[in-house]
Parts: sequence; C-alpha cells; structure tokens
Amino acid sequence: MKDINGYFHNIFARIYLRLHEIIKMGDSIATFEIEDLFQGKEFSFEKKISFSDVNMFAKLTGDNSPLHMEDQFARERGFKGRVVHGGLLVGCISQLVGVHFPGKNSIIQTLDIKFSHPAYIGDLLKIHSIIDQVSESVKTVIIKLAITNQETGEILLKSKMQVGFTN
Amino acid sequence: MRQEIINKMNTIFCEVFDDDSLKISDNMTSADIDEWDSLNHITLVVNIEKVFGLKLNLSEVGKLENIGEMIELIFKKINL
Repeated sequence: MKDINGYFHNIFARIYLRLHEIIKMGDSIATFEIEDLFQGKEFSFEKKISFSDVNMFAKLTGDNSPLHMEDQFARERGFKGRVVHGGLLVGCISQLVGVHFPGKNSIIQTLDIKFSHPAYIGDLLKIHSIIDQVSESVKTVIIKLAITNQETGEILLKSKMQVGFTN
Repeated sequence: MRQEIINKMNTIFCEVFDDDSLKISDNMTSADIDEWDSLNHITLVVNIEKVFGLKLNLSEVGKLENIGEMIELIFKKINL
C-alpha cells in the first residue's frame, strides 16, 4: 500500500512539475496583438554569444567553415577570432519576433538584412527593435531592428522585416 | 493626379515583384502576375499605405477586383 501511495505521489508530482513548466513557458512568451502595437513602440533584449552557441549552430546547420570554427584561420583572414555565423544573429531576430515582440501570435513574412561588422564569441549583443509601420487592414507590422555590440557600440546588423499575425 | 498615382503604384509593383520591366494597367489582376500570391498581396498593401500615407481597411482591400480599382480607391482616399 505504501508503495502504491508513493507511486501515485510520484506521478502527481511529475504532472504538477510539467504543468508548472508549461505555465511558466507560456508566461515567458509575449502575446502582443496588432492593436497593442504602434509606430515607435520599442523592445530590446541582450544576448551574450558563447562558444557553445557557435559550436551548436555549426553542428545544427553544417556550416563548419574555418572562418567560424578555427581561431587561427579567422585571424589570418584579418578577423579578431572565430566569426559568429550571421545565421546565429538571424536566430536572435527569430527569438525577438517569436518570443518577445510581438510573440506567439506573430510570424515573419519578409526579412531584409544588412551585415556591417562581425560578431565574435564572448560579445554581448543588444537586439533593439522598433515598430516602423502598422497595417491593420492586413494584420501586418513593419519592424526595424539593429544588433549592436554593447562594448564597442558598433552596429553589427540592420534589418527590416514584415511580420504578420496568425490569430 | 491619377497618372501620378499610377506611376507610384508602378514603382511599388516593380519593387514588390522584383521586376523593373513590369508595367501595370487598370485591368491587370493577380492572375496576370505569377508571383502575386497572398503574401505579396499583403506586402503590396503595406507598401501602398506607406508610400501614399494612408490607411486602408479590410473590407476595402477585400473588394478590389483589379489594379484599376486599387488606383481608384487610393485616388478617393487621397482626395477625402
């Protein structure tokens, strides 16, 4: 009997923890509606690029170019070290839109990007976005975005994207 | 005035469909441009609102049958 009680206690504990996790996850994803957005509304977040981020991105995409993976090679080509994949920075844009601003109700429709400086492992990046246009007739917003190196102030990337709403 | 709207619209269409040789006409519809799908339609509306500095609403956009009607709608909106 004691074993059965322990078994159910364990099951309920696991269900409770999973529900708590789901609720928490839900809370961490923004739920902006198009009516909440207006020209000039801003959102920013920071991300520090780690070795693990770059290594995992290389493994995931198969882009293991020595420019990204070999410090010596990158330095010989005039860079300060291993160059962070541009795609990883695009991943920051994906996180911004899908998780923070506007969040779970949105989807990227078009994305224009201009890379201007490289990012390196260890860089602290600021991802800053601003609503440029709201078109309620087609439930779409235009978001302008810049990714900046927080230490040097250099703009690494500028982007303009069209973001629609799925609800 | 109408010609000015047509010229601006032609520029928008060239940019959205990435085709500098595109020449729009009143009777043209989505059937005449291969890449005129729902996503490009949204992009067209967003660009029209930006370039002409106006707001369209869902019912207005939904009723449009061809480019001529689009131009007429913009003409009316600008002259309101």
